[in-house]
Amino acid sequence: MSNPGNIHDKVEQAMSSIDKVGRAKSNPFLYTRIMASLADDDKRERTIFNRPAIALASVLFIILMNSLVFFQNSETSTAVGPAQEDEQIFAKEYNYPLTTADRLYSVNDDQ
Amino acid sequence: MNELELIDRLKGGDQAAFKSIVETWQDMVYNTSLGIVQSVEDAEDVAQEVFVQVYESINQFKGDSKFSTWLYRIAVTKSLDHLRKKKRKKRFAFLQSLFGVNEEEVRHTPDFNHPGVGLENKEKASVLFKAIDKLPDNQKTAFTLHKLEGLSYQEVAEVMETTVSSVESLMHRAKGNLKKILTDYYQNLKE
Repeated sequence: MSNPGNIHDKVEQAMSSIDKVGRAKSNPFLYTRIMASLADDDKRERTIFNRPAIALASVLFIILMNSLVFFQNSETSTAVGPAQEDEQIFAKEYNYPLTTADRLYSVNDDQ
Repeated sequence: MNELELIDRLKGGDQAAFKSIVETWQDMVYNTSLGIVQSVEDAEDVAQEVFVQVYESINQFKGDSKFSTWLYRIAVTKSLDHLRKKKRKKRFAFLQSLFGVNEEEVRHTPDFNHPGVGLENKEKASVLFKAIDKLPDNQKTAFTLHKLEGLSYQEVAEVMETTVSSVESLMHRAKGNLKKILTDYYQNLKE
């Protein structure tokens, strides 16, 4: 069976084992490593799309172009095209109801 | 040249000032990281990251606190981030090993021997460091800064941006937890 007094002593000894610890010395080439790392970062930053302002401007440009194309398409789809114009002229000439609602009213009027 | 002059010159992009800053504080940063990450290679990587951040964000240092306090804060944050990343990687490697992939990646962490510990205390200190590694982040930070860097409770409070009484409480809990972990360790060793 383990002796509690003995364990207590070991715990206390472990707790005080770093009381007189010295400061660890760093790698003497740390500065060289840091400068190499900074040079690598510089190279990476030189890629044009890594700059936040340019990346943001590119995204905004793409959104703008997309919305321009979208609105242009929606305008052309609501405007009356040449085929529809012919249809309207034909309907006017022969008193033909152009929409379903007009057709229904004309049926009701006949009755 | 004093600390403030060095910082002003670094803000102006002076490389010699940066070299001087690195040479003055590299052991302090390295020792702090080493206490937290408990690996010589990882502590070197963290120290490098700390000074890269210092170089890139020196303009954010407004002089509200001591420069060393600011440096300690960066060192502690980077070290804890490094530990989190390492634990995440370990967990992922363990999951992969369950499916038979990357079995070599799951290795037991070797015992850590702090280079500043005397030969007669090496073994006990290694057990203590293993226990420190099991502490929650804030207790680990307070204990490491106080015990390994020799900072007073007031200085630890400034680094951790908290009050002295909070640091006292963290230290009390850290010591209690360490004693419990060490007791369990020695009991299991005897059985």
